[in-house]
Amino acid sequence: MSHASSADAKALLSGDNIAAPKASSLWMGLLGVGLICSAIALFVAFTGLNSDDHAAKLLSKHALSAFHIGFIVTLGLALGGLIFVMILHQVGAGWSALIRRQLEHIMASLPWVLLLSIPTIFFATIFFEGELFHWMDPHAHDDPIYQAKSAFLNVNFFLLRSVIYFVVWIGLSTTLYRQSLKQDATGDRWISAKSRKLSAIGIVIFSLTTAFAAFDWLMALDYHWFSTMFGVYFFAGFAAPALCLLTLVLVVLRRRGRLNGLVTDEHFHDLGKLMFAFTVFWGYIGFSQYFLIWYANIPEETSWFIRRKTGDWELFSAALVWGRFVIPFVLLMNRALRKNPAVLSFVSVWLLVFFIADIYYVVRPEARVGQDGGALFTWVDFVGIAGPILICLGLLVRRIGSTPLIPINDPRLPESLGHKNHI
Amino acid sequence: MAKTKATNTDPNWGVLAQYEDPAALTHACEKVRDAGYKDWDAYCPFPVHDLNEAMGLRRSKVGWIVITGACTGLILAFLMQWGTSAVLYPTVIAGKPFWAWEQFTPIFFELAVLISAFGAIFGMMALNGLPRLSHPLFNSEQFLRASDDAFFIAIESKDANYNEATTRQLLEDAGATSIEMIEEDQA
Repeated sequence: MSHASSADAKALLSGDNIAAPKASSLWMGLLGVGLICSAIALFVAFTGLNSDDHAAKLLSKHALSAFHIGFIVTLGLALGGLIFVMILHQVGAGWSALIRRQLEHIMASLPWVLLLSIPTIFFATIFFEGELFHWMDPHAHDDPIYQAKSAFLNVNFFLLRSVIYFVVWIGLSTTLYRQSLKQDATGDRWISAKSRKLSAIGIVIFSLTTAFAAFDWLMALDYHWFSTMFGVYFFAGFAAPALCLLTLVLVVLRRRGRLNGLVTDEHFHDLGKLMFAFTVFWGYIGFSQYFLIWYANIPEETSWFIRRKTGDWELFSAALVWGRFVIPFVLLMNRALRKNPAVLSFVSVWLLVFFIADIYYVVRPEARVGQDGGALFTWVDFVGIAGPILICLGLLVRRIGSTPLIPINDPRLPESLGHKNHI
Repeated sequence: MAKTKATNTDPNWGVLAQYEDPAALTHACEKVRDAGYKDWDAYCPFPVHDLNEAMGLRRSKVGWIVITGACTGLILAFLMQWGTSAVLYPTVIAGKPFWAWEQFTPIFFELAVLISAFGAIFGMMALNGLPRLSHPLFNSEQFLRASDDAFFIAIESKDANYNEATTRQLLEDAGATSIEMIEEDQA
């Protein structure tokens, strides 16, 4: 209806407005700090590995699980970018054309996430036998519970699956990314149709690979435990935070005087609505998973939650419920707050922090020597988690600077330009 | 319709103006809004974007009714379950505590949703003055086209700014293709 007139649109779509500000020191700084943090965490993990000293061994386990948490967080954000790019292509979401490029940058982390997976996933079987994944420990192989699951949980199949996941994700994300850039260069409108077709298939194989990756890399940390819902729980966890990261990128670009008159409060309003929806979705899935296990009260299922409801973890669990669900639910319910980029970026940071907390809650209680899990937080947790995240953040800043800030030849651009939420 | 022709002494309900297309309607609404009218409405066969702003409508109050419904549902669900399970008839079922938020949460959710939905539907109807059996606008033959292919603005005579001559003039200046007076329903 109210499309900007073509003369206005031309002015908005040219020059500095759609070119990222120079940020070479920023991305190099982030990348550098991230590399240092990762190196420290992995060094601590390696050195304490075979130590007889209980404290050193515990610290090593914490370092390893912290790096794993960092890797999973970057994976989740990249996968969130990927699934939303595919969904937006698939449904032909006109409003999103202006924000899709930044989402594509977020999903394009996946090849780097593959590198970050090497220490805990691909080296897990070589160096860290059973340190992170208890089922890889040869001692566990006498366990009848392991033996029953060994057809699925064995090193070769585990590695094969891990390779398949990455082949699928990187295949999808780089193809979609390249096609988008190709459309920038050639202006070929049919590229959008191709991306839509790929997305249709992509969404299906994405769901399967993501669910199984969650089983393999998160749920199987405690191989005694199982929840058929866990794949969905992981997806529900990263969907909103990926949009939070997108929101922060857009807010920063707008603060730096970019995307003026292009990305408006109306776009933020829609992002806020999606954040709200997926916050509720996380609460719903998280509760359903807990509720069924609580009600059935079968020891082999409850053990996972009991570990997370005793000691310091009890408070942590409660904080997660309030921080990841209740508070953002109430904040995002308000339309005026959703439309306000400043409030929305506060909520975004909040949700990202609690997304990390959610993964921490899943992974960290499994890092223990015997039954001793040690302190709730140690310094190496912060360093290990920050490492992979900062690496990916630095590379994200670099990618943002490498292309126009919007897909300049997207056929849906005019629709997105005049986007408005009608009451 | 076999309706007796109104005499000049019949009270006028208001004036109805027809417009060519959604754009003309939107434009006319802006003029009526700026002229300070309160008791008026626009009618069209399909939702026209931007009409809310053109009419100067404030946000619907339904949201507040819905949240009131949600809170009522939560409180009711709490009282009902806590009262029966923990206070009045404490019974051990499946070894669960008398009071456990886990087992009551589905009911919290369902009752909050149920009463919210009632609030949304019945609140919407109440705010729209529904249900009602008839409306003076149905006295107009032309108005039937509001659900087919025509766009209308109706200004009621009870509006403080209403003056038959100037109001007609305003609607005409705003580009009306036809204007007719609507008579009040006979009791």
